[in-house]
Amino acid sequence: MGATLDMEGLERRAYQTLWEDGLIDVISGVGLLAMGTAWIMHEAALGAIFPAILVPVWSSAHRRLSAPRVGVVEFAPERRGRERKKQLVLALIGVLCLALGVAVYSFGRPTGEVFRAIVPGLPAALLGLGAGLVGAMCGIRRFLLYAAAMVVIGALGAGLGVRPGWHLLSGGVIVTVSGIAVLVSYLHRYPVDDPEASA
Amino acid sequence: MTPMAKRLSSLDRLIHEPARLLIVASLYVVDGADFVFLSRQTNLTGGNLSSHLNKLEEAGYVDVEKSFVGKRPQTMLRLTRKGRAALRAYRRSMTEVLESLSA
Repeated sequence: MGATLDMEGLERRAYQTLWEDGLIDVISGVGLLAMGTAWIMHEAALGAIFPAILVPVWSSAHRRLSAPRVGVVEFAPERRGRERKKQLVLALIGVLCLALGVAVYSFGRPTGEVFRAIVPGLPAALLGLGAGLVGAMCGIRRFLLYAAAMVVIGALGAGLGVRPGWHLLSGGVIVTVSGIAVLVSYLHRYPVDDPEASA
Repeated sequence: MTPMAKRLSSLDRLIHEPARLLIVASLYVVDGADFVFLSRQTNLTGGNLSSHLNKLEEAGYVDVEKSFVGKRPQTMLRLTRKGRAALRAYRRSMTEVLESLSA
């Protein structure tokens, strides 16, 4: 224990345990893979349903995985209120990004060479922006790296003339593999043992 | 008794113990946490944590609620109003002691 007891730090540390298991990465990565696949199969609009399916999956899987390993915490009403606002903002941004990406790519009639060159990279860049916002708002640094990777993939893919579905698939592979690595490390670090039983 | 000795003797010795201070502070910043979570957060072993929690519960600082989630037993721990007030009072007293030391 340090010389000072940082109360905010204690609360932040408790909050960070929510994201330690890497499940949010795996779920996001799988979501990207699904969206990329849907896009490649010319069913880009289908991609919109995956976030709606995957969020409850994450919530349930996280509870089952983390409760026996790192325990259960109930946050104070102030934190819960902040979280609800964050979720609302993120959901709105997610829907807007997705709608914009799909609309621009599917229905847009891009004019001008520069615009035509940029458009295919937009879905990955917009999802990268979403990942960056999640990372910044929830304090998950890994998501800032994913955001940068998505923007780079979008830019490179657009430059090379690769279709957007493949950008999303590439990003999905990176996020899923990274999430699995975090998850495996978490499972090793926190085996299921009941400290209460040893009490 | 000097003012300094008075301040020091007014410190809540139950909370002054480092492990218990960490337990109380960890519970202060949340609504509640279970035994496993608190054990991970404080790095205390089950036996150690249990013994400190018994003392805090006896003093009325911590509320202990035992239940089952499926087949798994769960012990939820919450700081009581008395416990929250005790930590605030301890922080005030400790700040005064440290300020008088640096003066």
